[in-house]
Amino acid sequence: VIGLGAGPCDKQEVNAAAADRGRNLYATECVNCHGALARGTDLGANLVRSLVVLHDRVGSELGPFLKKGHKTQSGKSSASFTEAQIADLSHFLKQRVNDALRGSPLFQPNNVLVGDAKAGEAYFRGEGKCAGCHSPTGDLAGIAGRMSPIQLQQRFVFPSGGGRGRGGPAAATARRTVTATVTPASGTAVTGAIVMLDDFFVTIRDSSGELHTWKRTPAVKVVKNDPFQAHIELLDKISDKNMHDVTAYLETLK
Amino acid sequence: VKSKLSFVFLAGCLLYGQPGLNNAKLGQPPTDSWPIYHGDYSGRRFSTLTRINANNITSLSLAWAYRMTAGGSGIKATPLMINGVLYFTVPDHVWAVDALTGREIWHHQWTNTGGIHIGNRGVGAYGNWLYYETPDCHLVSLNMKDGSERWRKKICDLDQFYFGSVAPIIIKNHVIAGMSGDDLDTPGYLESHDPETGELQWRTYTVPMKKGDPGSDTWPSIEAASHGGGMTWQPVTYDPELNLIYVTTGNPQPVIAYKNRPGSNAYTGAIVALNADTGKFVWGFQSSPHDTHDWDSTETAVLIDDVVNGHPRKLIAQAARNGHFFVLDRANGKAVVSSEFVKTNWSKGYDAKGQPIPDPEKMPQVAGALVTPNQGGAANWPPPTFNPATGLFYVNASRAFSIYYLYDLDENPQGWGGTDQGGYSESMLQAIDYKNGKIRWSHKWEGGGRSGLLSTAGNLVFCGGPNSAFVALNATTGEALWHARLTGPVSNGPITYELDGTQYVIVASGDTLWAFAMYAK
Repeated sequence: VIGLGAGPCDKQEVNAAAADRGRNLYATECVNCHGALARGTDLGANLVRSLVVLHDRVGSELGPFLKKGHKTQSGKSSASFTEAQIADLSHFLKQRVNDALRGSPLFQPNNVLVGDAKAGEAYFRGEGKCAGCHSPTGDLAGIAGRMSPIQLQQRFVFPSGGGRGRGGPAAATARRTVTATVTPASGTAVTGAIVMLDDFFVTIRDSSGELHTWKRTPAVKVVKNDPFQAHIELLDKISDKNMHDVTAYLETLK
Repeated sequence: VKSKLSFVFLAGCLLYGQPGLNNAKLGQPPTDSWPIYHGDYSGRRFSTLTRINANNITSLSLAWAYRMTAGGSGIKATPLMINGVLYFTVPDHVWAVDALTGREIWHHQWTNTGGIHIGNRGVGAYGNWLYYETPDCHLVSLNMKDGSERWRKKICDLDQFYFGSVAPIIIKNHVIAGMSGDDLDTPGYLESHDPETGELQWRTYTVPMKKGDPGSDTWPSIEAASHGGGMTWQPVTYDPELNLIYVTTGNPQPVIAYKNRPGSNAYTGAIVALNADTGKFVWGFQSSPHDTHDWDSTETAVLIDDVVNGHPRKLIAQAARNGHFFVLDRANGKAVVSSEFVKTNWSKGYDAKGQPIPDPEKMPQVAGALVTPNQGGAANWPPPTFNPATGLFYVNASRAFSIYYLYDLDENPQGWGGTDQGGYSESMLQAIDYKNGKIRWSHKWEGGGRSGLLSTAGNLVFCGGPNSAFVALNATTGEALWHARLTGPVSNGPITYELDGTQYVIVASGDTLWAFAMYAK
């Protein structure tokens, strides 16, 4: 994960037990001004963006800062904090910095079930033309029991997965075999799964497993067949409301 | 930190390359050298050479291949070629390779102390010296002759998760260094260093750091602005007559979650013109105002010299990551053309400045927003090319969809706060008429085709295609004319030069640099 892998080699690794102890000290002395996530309030600075915190190594910067004396909730001088307390506080604050990074425990989707299942069913059977290929009592029976809501959403919008989304595919992808029928200048047409296709060559594997390669010329006709073509065409048509509604409908198929 | 050097001297081999760069070549069209990231300051990546052309391209031969001897990531750098020697990088490594034979001359290795090693764009050259950035935030000068270190200067803070990846550009006595990083909420900036001593000459932030700075009125507070991103990921372009640097800037921070940064967030997602000697802001144009999709606008801003009614007109063009194409007057930043180079679904027309107006409904949502382009963008860092002979701007493009989710629902989100997932994409090389933004021709790739480009007066566009092919297209029609199957996808922008009467084309795929030559007479 890029976010958690960023920064210097000697960056502080968070000790979870120490961070938990630091959380208690933070709740007692700091939270009112700096906020629950240490992102600051009108009363105190954002500590996630604080250079003192970012440059700190288990109290190396935080310690001298607090030893100068800093206002606390209890009124107790921060100069009285022990080295162990400062180290714990450092781990807690580093944990809050890490919250902001890709791959952190907080870097998770929320509830995507905001749609209207009935409207989703209507779209499924109507405008979306989904029912032409899929059935809630056939291939989709019980699908909500096998996938999370976000996986259902990803699967029906992008059945083949792939793409370049930074979060990656959220669902186990469906098997997609794109085929081509190749008709050479002389000879019979051959249909098979595309192994390679570009401006210069086409290679397909026929049903017997045999590979066929042709140099591409104007005389060599190539017709592609993508089983997910209807899903691809949907991308330019479906609204976000439709997408949320269909997700809600699919969630009912348990 | 110590740098290690390894040398392979070629006994008895007379190299072109031991004299340094004639710095005057930095401002000239590249023919017998490729002395700067884009070939010259314009960003055009256009060569006037014609020994390789659309009529004889099928006779192009493999001259040599050099497989790098160290380094963990692929070659994304554009090599420089100076006096018969190629200089290129991957993170923590610099090589000098004989441009005629592909033999290694020297290899410099940096001992790193961290930073993201996602890629390195290459070296800059000035006189006898090379300059490169390290992932752990150093600008380093090397002796061109043997790769020995001359000086190093810290240019950023690893603890704020900045890192170095940008190829420095040398303008007069300025080494211009950009910054990388978008994990934490930090401000982007550009630095100028003395090429002899490495001392900092100026630093210009791309976002307001205090009240009254350019763009201050587009942020809710200086706290938000001064942590607002806008990294300078790409080598700059430059107009010597106007003495303006054109720096393209990255996305705002937080990247996806946007609740704490209402406004257009200037000058993130923008083309910004700076005085080359002072770094002073002159004008800015936001290609992606208030971006919420990680669409930096760091794609190369290419200088185009037009003539309208007999009068010269200085333009600058960009095919931005968000799918929109812009042509501006480069003296003042006024838009001349705003259009799409692939179909998108996230904006609602253009404002009075010609900047896209984001559609709030297509900003990331908790339950997902289906958006095109995806986070990878309609274009990305691989450089485009402009061919003055055809009047076409070429860019390897993607039409891609993904769903953007909002994760961090706090009133004051930090870092990323969301992402996109999944997706579908199609790739094509778009040839754009810069005068009106219309697509003259589109060459669809069956599969991926994201690479940097090179165009030549031989009526050719060199590019990466699917199935690890290095492809030459007819620059006028888009017809595929020639290809060579490499060991991996093209991973950089190709270059060309002429040595001893032979024209070469150099391209990288992963860990290998390939040289093709026209030996046919």
